Amino acid sequence: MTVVALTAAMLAAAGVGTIVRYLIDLLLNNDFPVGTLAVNLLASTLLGLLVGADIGDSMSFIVGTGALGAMSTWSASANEAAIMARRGEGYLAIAYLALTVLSGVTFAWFGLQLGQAL
Amino acid sequence: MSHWAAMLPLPTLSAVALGGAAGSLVRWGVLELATSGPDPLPGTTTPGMSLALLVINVLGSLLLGVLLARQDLMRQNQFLAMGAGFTGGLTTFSTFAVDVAEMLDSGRIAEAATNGLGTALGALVAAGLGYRLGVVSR
Repeated sequence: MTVVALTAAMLAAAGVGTIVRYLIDLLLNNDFPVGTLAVNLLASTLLGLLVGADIGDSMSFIVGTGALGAMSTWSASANEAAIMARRGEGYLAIAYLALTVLSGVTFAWFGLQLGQAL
Repeated sequence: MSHWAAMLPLPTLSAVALGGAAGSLVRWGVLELATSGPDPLPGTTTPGMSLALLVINVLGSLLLGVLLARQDLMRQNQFLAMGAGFTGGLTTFSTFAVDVAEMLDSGRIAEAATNGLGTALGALVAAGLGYRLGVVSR
């Protein structure tokens, strides 16, 4: 694949990943952002799998940098926590971010192990 | 967000997708610059890349904070393109999570803790600061 084709494929995958996040957020986000947490955990697990299985530079660029990179997000998580803090639920904000980071890293770690075993 | 079926027209989805692609392109460009030099092994990250990713995630959180405070001043698709699209595609959680998991795997516990706490606190503070900036700039 040429650099241009590879970049185009990555951008298309990023567009798809962003739409998937947007739709899951619309469906699942409530007072508590279940949707954002779900996309971040799913993308972390899948990226762990890809990296662990060492799928090659092109695929990891398209799927890892593009689809999963765009599907997962920090800006939404941080602002959802800031909104909780602004409405007086500071402890919930901290708990939400702690849950996001600890479960995300755990899922990524299991993805890595599983990928390496494949 | 209660009338979610009204948020699905093609222009809206296109705006979200284009914003996400643009944000991802910027993220990739910055991470490439941060890791210029010999390519790291596939699946491994360098300290420079971890730091660059932290900066990207913090700045993207700040930008979304600004946008949220100014949401009612923008057209909906414009807000979604820049918010859910651009800042969502610019920032990323999956690379962060795998990066920290790899630090733990190789016994770099302090680095993993610093990165995890630093990103979470930095992004949270930036989101709050961005919102304040957005309110002040109205």
